[in-house]
Amino acid sequence: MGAAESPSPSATSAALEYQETDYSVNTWSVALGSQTKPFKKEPAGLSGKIIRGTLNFGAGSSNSVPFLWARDARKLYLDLNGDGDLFQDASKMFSTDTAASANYQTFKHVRLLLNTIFGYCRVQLTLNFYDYGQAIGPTCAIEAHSFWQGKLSLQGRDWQAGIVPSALAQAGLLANGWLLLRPWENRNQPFSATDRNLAAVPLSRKIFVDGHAYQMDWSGEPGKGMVSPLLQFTEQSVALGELNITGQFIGRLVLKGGSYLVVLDQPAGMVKVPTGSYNQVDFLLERNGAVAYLLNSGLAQLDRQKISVNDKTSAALNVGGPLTNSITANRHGQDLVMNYQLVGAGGETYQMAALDRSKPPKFAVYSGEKKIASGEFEYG
Amino acid sequence: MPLTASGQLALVASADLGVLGSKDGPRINYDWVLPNVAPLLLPWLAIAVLLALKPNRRAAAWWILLPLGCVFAFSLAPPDVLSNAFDFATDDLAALAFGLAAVWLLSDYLRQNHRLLTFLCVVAALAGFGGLTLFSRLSLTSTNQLAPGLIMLAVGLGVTAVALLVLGLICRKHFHLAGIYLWLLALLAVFWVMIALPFFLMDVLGSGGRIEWSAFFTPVLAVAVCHFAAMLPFLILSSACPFYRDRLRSLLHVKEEAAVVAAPAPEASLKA
Repeated sequence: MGAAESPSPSATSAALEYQETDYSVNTWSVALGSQTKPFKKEPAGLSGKIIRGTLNFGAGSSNSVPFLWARDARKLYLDLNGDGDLFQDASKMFSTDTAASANYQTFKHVRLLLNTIFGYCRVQLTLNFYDYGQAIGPTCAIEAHSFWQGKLSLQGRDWQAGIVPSALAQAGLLANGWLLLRPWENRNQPFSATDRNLAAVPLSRKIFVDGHAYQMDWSGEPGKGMVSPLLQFTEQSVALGELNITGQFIGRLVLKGGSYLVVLDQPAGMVKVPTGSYNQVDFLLERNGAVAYLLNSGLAQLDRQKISVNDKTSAALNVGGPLTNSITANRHGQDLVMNYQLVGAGGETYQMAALDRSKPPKFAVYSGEKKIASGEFEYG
Repeated sequence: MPLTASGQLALVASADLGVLGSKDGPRINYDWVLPNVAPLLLPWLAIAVLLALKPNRRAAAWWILLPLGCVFAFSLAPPDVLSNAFDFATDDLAALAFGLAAVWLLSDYLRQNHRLLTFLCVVAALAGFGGLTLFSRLSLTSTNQLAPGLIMLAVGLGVTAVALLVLGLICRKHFHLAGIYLWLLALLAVFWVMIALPFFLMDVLGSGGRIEWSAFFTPVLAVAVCHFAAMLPFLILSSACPFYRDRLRSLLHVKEEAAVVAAPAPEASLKA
């Protein structure tokens, strides 16, 4: 225990490349500003319900994109250059499936150049527009289909590091978001910032990875009218304490809320992490290709508010495998209602990642040694 | 749970967890006490009381147990498609069967001079015995099904009573049992569609006209067919048993002279 060796600060950086995906890497909702005034020039022949407004991608008015949603025509027009001219400009028009519902329409492959804290950056989005009447008003859910990624070597190990766009709120793109950080050999696997694989973690200036603490900085490299992000990891000296993980098979453990964001791969037994108090813990179990996700937030399941790690005593984290098939039972009249639970070492509950709904968990009821009933659980 | 099971039970869950854990979980003990099945006997006791009434003191009256038993047995072991549709669907079917049995057994009392009065009495009998059956069954299961079960039953019994009323009007000149079967099926289908129509229109308005007719009305027609299937054993009884044929004729306000089973009655005889 105690402070780690303090090496001279050494920095490792990775220039990130823009990459588009056919899967969604993140989703969020965006506020729609209303606009009652027609555009200077609008497409001819539009009929039915027309909704005009502004898509706000954060960072002030420079990232506001006026739009016209011709709901019944199933077309979306984006005034990308802000000149108010939507007439006969094919680059501003996006179509959806003609069989799509009038209330919910998806517009794919929307490529935008958005202003970030470093300059203009590319992004590919899918825009899902909803309109369920005046009570709710039109809304838009965004799927990001692009991110920036590169190869990063930390302590001799290669990682795929990247930045995933997130809710482009007030500060704008790249001011917040997600850090993609996974072993380089996993780089071709689909991921999402919102899934439970934990391949992406919230962007943090201070991160503890693979037993080492880093100051993480990101900046933009200009070129061809737009910028590409650059990630830089500078090793730091930090006081460490012990965390005793009693369960097995943890594939990745993420501790949040402390002075460092802690990312540990395959932690087992006694591990060292920066001292401090962590109020969020996420993890998944992984062994020989079998993966199980935690059902709800780890600390809530463990009935704990925080994990405190200091340099004097070891903290305990009683989670992990092996997993146990379990049943909770309650009486409802003449029925015995049984619920299936997949339980970990500390009583936390999981769900297998490869869920085969054609093979649900089974149950058997015994009176003494005699089996008197059996069957399968139903999902729901 | 099997009705005979009681005492300490052991529950075991199993699923393939691969290398993350064992397939079979540990035994979870549960102390199971036999449920009180007395409420289930209440509707049967009510039917027994009706069988003891003076107009029913004859052997033919006991045939009512046959259609009632058929529908009741079906409600105990329904096909998955029905029990999965609504938790209370089979309870409502059983309640409808007991209501119909009560109407058939009480027809001498329910029959009034005016057709509308008979209709109101039929509604009261259906509601009383159907409601009793539903309460007795749902008291043993979950109470959160009571409200939706009651609403569905009320609608179903209302449709039944109105269908019988309209059937009586249609058949007042031509009491033909085969025709009654077909008319009843058609009436049930029409009434259920009429009930569903406002909801369909609301969905059409809400979705901008992108609702499929078949997706909406197929389940509605399936409900009508199930409703008819629950009434069919009672109609068959009325076809096969003269005692109950007279009861049905009485309920439908078909005059004695007009009763011809095989062929429509001549108009002259109806006016006699």
